[in-house]
Amino acid sequence: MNGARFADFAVHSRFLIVVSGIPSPVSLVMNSRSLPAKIALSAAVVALLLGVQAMLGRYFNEYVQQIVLYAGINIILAVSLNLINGITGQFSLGHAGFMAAGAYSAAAFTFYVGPQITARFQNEAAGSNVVFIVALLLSAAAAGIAGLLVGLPSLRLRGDYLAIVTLGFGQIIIVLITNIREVGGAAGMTGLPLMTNFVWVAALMVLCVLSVRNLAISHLGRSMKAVREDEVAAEAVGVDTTRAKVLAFVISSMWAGVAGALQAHYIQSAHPGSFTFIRSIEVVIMVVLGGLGSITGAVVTAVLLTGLTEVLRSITGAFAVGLSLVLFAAVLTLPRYRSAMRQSAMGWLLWLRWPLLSGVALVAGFVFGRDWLEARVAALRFVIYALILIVLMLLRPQGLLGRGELSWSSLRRSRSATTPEAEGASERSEPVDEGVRGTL
Amino acid sequence: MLRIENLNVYYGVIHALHDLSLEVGAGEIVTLIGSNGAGKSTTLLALSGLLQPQSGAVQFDGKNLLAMPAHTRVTSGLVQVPEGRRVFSSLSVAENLALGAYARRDKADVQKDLDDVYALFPRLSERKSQAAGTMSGGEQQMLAVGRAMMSRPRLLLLDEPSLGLAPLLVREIFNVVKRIRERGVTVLLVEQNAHMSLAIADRAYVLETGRIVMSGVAKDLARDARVKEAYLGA
Repeated sequence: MNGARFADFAVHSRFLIVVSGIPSPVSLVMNSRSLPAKIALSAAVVALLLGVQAMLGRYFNEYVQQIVLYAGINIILAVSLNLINGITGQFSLGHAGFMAAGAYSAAAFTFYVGPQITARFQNEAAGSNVVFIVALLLSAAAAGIAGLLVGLPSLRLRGDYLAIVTLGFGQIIIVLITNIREVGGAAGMTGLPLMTNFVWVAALMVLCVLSVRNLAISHLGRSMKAVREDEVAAEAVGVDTTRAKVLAFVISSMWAGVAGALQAHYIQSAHPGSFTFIRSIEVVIMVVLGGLGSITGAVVTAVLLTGLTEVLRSITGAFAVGLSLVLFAAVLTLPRYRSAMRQSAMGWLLWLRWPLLSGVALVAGFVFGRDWLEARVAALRFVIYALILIVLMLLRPQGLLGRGELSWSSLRRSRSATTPEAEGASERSEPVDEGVRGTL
Repeated sequence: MLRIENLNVYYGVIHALHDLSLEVGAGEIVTLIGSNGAGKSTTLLALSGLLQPQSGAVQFDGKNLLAMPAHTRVTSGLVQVPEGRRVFSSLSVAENLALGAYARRDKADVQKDLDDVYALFPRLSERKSQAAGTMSGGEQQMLAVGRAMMSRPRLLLLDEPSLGLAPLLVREIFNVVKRIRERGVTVLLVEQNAHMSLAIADRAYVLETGRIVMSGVAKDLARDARVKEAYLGA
């Protein structure tokens, strides 16, 4: 009995190592496992981050910096939600709720306790960093506990029912924080110190991506995928499906909490309105659009969609987005017309008729309707955004990357596979492990 | 090794199993035959813990099986190959097999068992990295059996392994069952294909509308006039 308990503990502690993402980030990059190499590389990464931060501050205005930071926060959100919705195959609509739990617990800490801690430090910057580290840990813990509370009932619920429970949880969190006067109530908490910067976001983002990736290819991650594929069969091979689901929930919400804390200490406020279910939906869109279960897909769409909302503010941006979408559509439909194109010139026309038509329409609209559009493009932004989502989902229902991963090894493979048919086949039969290996 | 006593299962008001009792001794192949809806799969579901019986007792190696949750039954050596194969279709063959060893503590022996499974099913070793869902039905059945073997079963529960397979593949699967027994694994085989299962089993039980109506040595049952008429089409 004792032996079994110990073995169980060993499995759990190994899971902690996997989650912390420590064992492999270095070997991932340079395949070297020696300690000096690891230290050197970690130092190089930190130096690189600091360098980028300095560059951002010097050459780019605050607006660009803000977009970059938001993209990073969205990556953390999308990649962590992918653990529940993509890898474990459950459906959560409560990610913003977990964000709120993290954001508010961190905000309360930095606001009420933070100043007293900072005062004890000679160096103010060091003090504020210590406070922030504690706040981040606290946000992960608070959101993780919330995830545990929501995850436990999820052991009985599937699909739509679970989605409703998580949706309800998101609402409960909002009602809760709106009614706690100490955290500002409906007006939100303002006057938080500015603590989030590029280095924090980038480092945590990398840690999040690596930990989710390591988890996905680990023993535990495999059991989560088994739950996604077939719960009965998972149970039949001895997977504790409840544990797999609850762990996915807890880990995922911990990262959501961290993202919330980062966001609150960047915009220097926490407001119930920023954690409504609309925010959850935004993250779900990123995960679905990137391809459920694909970590790189979540990263790519998190960046694309963050950029998209900003680019669509200007007419030139909207035009560029429209044009690239047309090109994208053309490339995606290319395989279908390949044999027709070999036979005649009409085949080319067949392929290009819709891209050509919409391209002409776009250019005409841009040339003739510029003034009219210019006045309205800001208002039309979300209509265009929604239209783009619809078009993308119609063109690629499995998401940008499907279940595959974008990695050096997958790029090499697709270069050797010349025909689109073979490419599609290799994408389907590709073992997930191999696809994930070498990501980044 | 396995002793079921007076097991009763209801689906709502429908009484699916009536006081079912059966026994499987170590090293045996025991088959449970019966037509559609006789309660064969229900029996296996109750054994693997995917379904809760209303009354009765099940002992596995002297332990009360019904008190264990489904996933710990696997670690205690009772492993089911579910009906309809149920492989993890978008995972690779290798990943499916690795999941078979999921609940095991003796990680050192897993590689040896993996080689063993690949030796038992050479087809699987040719297709290690293929997505399981893209393989043929027979290959998926082999994968399902191989996955169960990776859990190091002492008692293997096979639910309709011949379902939907071509005759040649059916023969192959039954040969595999014999070879699995030679490796010291006890087998409880649930089948509609009475002909084939009686040919490889030591003992057999005949199930009809939730009751055991006959039992005995498989060879004798295969010659029994009533069994012949009802199940062997002769």
